[in-house]
Parts: sequence; C-alpha cells; structure tokens
Amino acid sequence: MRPRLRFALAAATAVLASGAGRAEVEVTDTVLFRAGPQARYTTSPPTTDTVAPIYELLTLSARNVQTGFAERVELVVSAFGAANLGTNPWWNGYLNSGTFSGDLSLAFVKGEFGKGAVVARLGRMMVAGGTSRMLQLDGASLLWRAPAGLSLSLFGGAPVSARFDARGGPYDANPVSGDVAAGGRLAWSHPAIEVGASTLVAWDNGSTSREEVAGDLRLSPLRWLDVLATGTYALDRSQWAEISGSAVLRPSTAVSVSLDYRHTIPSLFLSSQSILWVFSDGYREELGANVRWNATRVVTVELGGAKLFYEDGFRALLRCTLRPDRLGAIGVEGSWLDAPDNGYGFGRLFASRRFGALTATLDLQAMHFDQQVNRQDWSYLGSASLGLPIAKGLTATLAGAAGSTPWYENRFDVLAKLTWQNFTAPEVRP
Amino acid sequence: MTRRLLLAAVLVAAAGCSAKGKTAQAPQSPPYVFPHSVHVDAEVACTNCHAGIDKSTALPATVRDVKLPAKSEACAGCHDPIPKLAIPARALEWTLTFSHAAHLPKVKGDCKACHKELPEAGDAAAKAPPMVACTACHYHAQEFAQARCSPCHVDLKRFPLKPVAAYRHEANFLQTHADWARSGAQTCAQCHDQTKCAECHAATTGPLKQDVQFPERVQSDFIHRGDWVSRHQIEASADPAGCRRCHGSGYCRSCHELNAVAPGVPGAGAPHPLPYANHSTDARRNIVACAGCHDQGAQSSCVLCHSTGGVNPHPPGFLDRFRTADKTKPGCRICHR
Repeated sequence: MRPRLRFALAAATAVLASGAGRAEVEVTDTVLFRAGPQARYTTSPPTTDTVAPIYELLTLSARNVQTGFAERVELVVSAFGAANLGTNPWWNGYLNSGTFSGDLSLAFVKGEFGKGAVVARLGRMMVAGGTSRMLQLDGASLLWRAPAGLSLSLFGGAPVSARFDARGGPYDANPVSGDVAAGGRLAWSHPAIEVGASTLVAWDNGSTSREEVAGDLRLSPLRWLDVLATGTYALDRSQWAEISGSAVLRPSTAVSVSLDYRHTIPSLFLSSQSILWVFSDGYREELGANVRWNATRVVTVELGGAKLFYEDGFRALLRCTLRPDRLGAIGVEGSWLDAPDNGYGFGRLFASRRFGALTATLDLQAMHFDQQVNRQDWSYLGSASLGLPIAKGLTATLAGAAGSTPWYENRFDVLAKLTWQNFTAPEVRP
Repeated sequence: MTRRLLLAAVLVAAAGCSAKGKTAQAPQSPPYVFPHSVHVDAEVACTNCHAGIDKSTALPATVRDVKLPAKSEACAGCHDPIPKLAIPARALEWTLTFSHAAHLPKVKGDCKACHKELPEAGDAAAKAPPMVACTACHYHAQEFAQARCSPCHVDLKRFPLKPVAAYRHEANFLQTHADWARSGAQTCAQCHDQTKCAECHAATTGPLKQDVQFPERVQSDFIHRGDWVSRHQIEASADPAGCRRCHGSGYCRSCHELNAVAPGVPGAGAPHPLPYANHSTDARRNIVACAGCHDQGAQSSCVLCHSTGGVNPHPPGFLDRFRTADKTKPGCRICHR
C-alpha cells in the first residue's frame, strides 16, 4: 500500500473511532479453507497440484457514526488476507506465485452534509452511475443533490490495481486500465423521468487511455412500466461503444417482463493505448425478452432468451423453482447458448432445505458442448453443503464438490468456513 | 510505523464499534403501560401528559416522549388516588428524523390527524403513524426519485425490506441492473452497502469466485457459476464486452500464463493453430479474445508484422473515421512513429 494512502486511511479510521459508539455496525468475518486441484500445463504432460489456501475475509460497515464534521458518517471496509498451505495457487486474477496474498476491495469514509444534499466519499470505493461501469477507484467522489431535481456527481482518483501492484499499462487487471481516472454525471430527475449525461476520462502514463461520454434515460410513465436507455460514445475513437435499452413491465404482481436490446463494440472496451483495437470492426448485438411468473405461492417460472445478431445465434434460459414452505426450495434450470465459435447446453438441479438448525444444499450441474472443449463433450459438477449455526451469529459451513470436466478428468474440492455476523437483519442480501 | 498506526486505528475503531454498536439483536423495548383509549374517550388532552411535544424537534433517542404531570388536577378529576405509573425507557432508538414542533401547527394541534391508533397497556410495539400518514400531505415524489430517504429515515439498510414495484429485481435483473444503476445508483445505495456491489464487482481485488465463497447460495444468480473455465471462451465470444466491463487484460493473462496458453511462457501452447492463417478474420470478429494473451502494447507480437510499412491492419472505413485523428497518441505511435 502506498504510504500516503495508508496514512489517510489510518487518520480517517482513528477520527471515526471516537464516534463509533452510536454507530450501526455490521460486521461479517469469515475464515474459509478450501482444498482442491489446480492443473499445471507448463509441464508435459500436465500435472495437477493440490492447492489449499486459507482465507480471512472481512466486511465492515459502520453507519451513522457520530462526528463533528458531517451529519452522517459511514465507514466501509472489505478486505481479505490469505495463506496457502499447499502449492502456490492462482490468486484469482493475480499470479504472484507466493504463499501469501491479500487485498482491499473497499476502504472508504462517506459523509453527508446539508441534510443529505451533499455526499462525499474518500478512499477505495466503487463508483457507480453513468458511464463509470462500477469503476473500482482509489480517490474521492462527491454527489450534490441540487434543488429542482438536479444532481451532480464527480469522482477522481486512481483505478485500483490488483494486490497493490503497479497501476495502468497492459498488465493492469482493472478494466479501465489507467493510472488516473476522473469523471462525473449531471442528471435531472423527476418521479416519471430521469435524464443523465456523464463522462469518464482515464489517463495512462500521461496520455489518455479512455475518453467516453454517455447519456442515460429512465422513463417511468406508468406504475407498471419502466423504460431504460443508455448510450456511451468513445470520443477518442469516434464510435458508439455501447447502446442499450430495456423496458420492464409488471402487468400484474405475479408477472414481470423485460425486453432488452444491447449493441456493443467490444474493441472500444480496450484501452485506446492498446495496439489491438485498431484491428477490429466487430460488434455484438442482442435483442431479448425475459418473463418471470410467480405462478402460485409455491412455483416461480423464469423464461428468457435473446437473439444474437452479429453472428447468428441465440441464448435461452428456463428455470422453475418450487418453494413449498419456508424451509427450503428446489429448482431446475436449463440454459443454452448457440454462438458461432461454439455453444453449450447447461442443465442444473438445485435444492436447499432446513432440517432444524441444519441447512443443507445440493447443486448438480451438467453441460454439453456443441464442439469439444479440450477433446471433451461433457462437463459434470456436483456440490453439497451443510450449514449449522453453532453460536449466536456464528455459522459453520462444510461443502464439497466433485466433478469431471474438460480440464480435470476428476476433481474433488472441499471447503470449510466459519462465518461470524453481528446482525440478524442485514441489508438486503440474496 | 504507518502500518502499525493503521492497524491500531482499525482495532480501536472495531473495538469501539463492536463494544457499543447497536445491532438488530438488541432487546425489544419494554411494553407500554399506559391505557390510551380510556383517556382519549375521556377527552383528556394529549398535551397533559406529552407536555412540551409542541417544542420537540426530534424523536428522542431512548426515552418515551412523555412527561406525566406530577400532581395533575386533570388526573385527580377521575383518579383517587392517582396511580403511580413508571414509564419505561425505550430500548431501541427511533429510525426516523421527525419534528413534532414543525408538524403540529400544520394540523392545528390535532394529534389524531396522524396518530390514528395509539398503543395500549401491554402492547410491545409503538403504533407509530404509518408512512401513508406522511405521504397524505407530502407526496415525496421528488425525494423518491432522487433516492433521498435519509432526510426522514435514519437508515434503511438495517431492515430486510422486500423491494417493491420497480425495485423488485425481477425478470432479467441480472442483466438490466446495470441500466438501473446507471441512472439510479443512489437509489440502490438506500438499501445496499457497497460491500454488496463489491461481492461481484471488485473483480480486480476479490479473492474467490462467488459460488465458491457462498456454496450455500444455490438460488442466487452468479454469472460464473460452476465449471466456468470450460465455457468462458464460449461466453466471451458471444459477448466480449461483457468480460471487459470487469476484467482488464492483466486478469486474463495471469491465468493464461499459469496454464501456459500465453506467449512467452515456457512450454506454452497456443489455443489456435500456428501459423494462424485465419487470424485476421478472427481478430476482426473478436479482438478481445486476442487481448487475453497479446495485449502488451508495443511489445505485442502483432507489431512485428503490422508496423508501418508492413501489412495494413485497419478494417475498411477505419481511415475515413480517423483521417483527422491525432497520430501522436501512444496507441498510434507504436506503429506510426
């Protein structure tokens, strides 16, 4: 971690500590151990090593912290640390071939001023809204809810790098891939309409790597209808990077329908400093519809599909879930993707059931490829878990998975985790 | 030094929070002891007991907003002797910001305008006016549109609220939630902490795939559920931009290097034929697939053949679009020195 960031974080945390007594605090702390195979293809023939990392995952939200400098202060931290007990694994996006890993997903302080008219964040955060596409950023953001439905949001900072590595450049795991990024959104909202204009500019090593402007629109003309539309234009490449629109209809309390259209030019999602985007003239276009029908109190049916236009294809999904009581659910799911290079059909059976204090889950999956993947037609995977509350706020979970996939003739994974939560009514989670 | 300072500060904060922090597991408030209905029927004025309510600008934190008259002539009219009544303190704080002082003049001191029901002795919960009592006068449409719940609601995140109407997260919400968030990120934030977003969207720093971390959530929509490794290239071909929303080139290459499908790795084998006769056609169609291994800027293997004087790599129409483009940009300078 950069010294300046460490100091800022320490100072902010120390200031907040004094007022934390009246805070609403939600903490989830998980110790998770997993063991399973990981293939090594650098040798011939390939070998399989056992990786067995142990993780400590912490998320903390302290809200309504009382301080003298803001009306409502919030401190949010989400982080993990891990050590490996087997051979060194791929640390999910970062190959440091080391025994230890760890990272900080979030660490920010948020304050509200002027009865919520101004909201400021400082630290490592996710920036949502407009063309920012959930940008993970080390920096600051500011929202001003102005009178007459106007609002202005601004942000600036450095896109987050994996494991505090060097930012920017072609090796960056951050999708914005720059060392500095800034942007904002100006919007006008009304109960029936919201219109926004936004921009995102990223620089990499002193030159721009992304320059985008975007517009977004929400129309809610009727209680049962919402229409959403967005368009993102890449200024530096004079092309529309993305155009999307969807209509969400709720003809009854039991039925919801969405109609979606999406047009993207994938090469414009690469940095403009990449050599690669100049080779491409491809685009992707999808038009689809989805229906969710709560047929009865017990049965929910979801049906969806989309036509792929650029290269003839389609995707489809059918899922039926039964919830006979509050103790559990059982569902069956099938999905298909027919794309030019390859396609697959996917079937899944899942169930969860509470037996007293014990909660058991089962998940069985099978997949068939239109064209072989690593000379295999099928992939099978099954997993099961048992969860048991062992003390107030403390839950133990044991899980195991077994499968035969194109990349593993057979594989077995085990997972054990101990989760402590200090709340029983958390914010809305699935 | 700084690391110790950080650690100490975090520990102090966490200790302060967890020691004194109020959670949803806090005990319930003791039941009410005062029989309101009898007194309302007897037309006893509310302000006899709730003296000073007309000056109250906020709901008190833990006390019930009541001051029983010590020696009330009003009570003595019916009670002989006056019963001793101890009003227990509330155990839970109100989660609303509300000023009786501002509202009472607007209803001309008529408490019943909002308080249609009152708690009776033995009732565990307050019969606070429902939100419809507020919206009868305040439409709050603008606040709703701007997701400004906080002026009245202290905190919504502590309640496991079931989303209503537009916020039910139904139909194809996994895909459309991005469009919702573009125009309504503040609305999302009324119920969801960023920790919720980060579970999936902190792909750069996250430790695990969601279905690995949460094997018990079999009903959740996880994009990368199951044997994702085997089908990721199929999904990436159908929707390359979908990958690049969350993953930079470094993410792809870290795994491709481990599995020896990236150039420059000892023992590496290419996932395409070598020589790659159709590479120009495939690059036109799906350049993001190439970027999974070959996005190294000036060190990219593409530059060997496609630098100025070599094979023109640009698709038809490219030069028309960029005729006036600034070729001093770093991406252009790799070839157009």
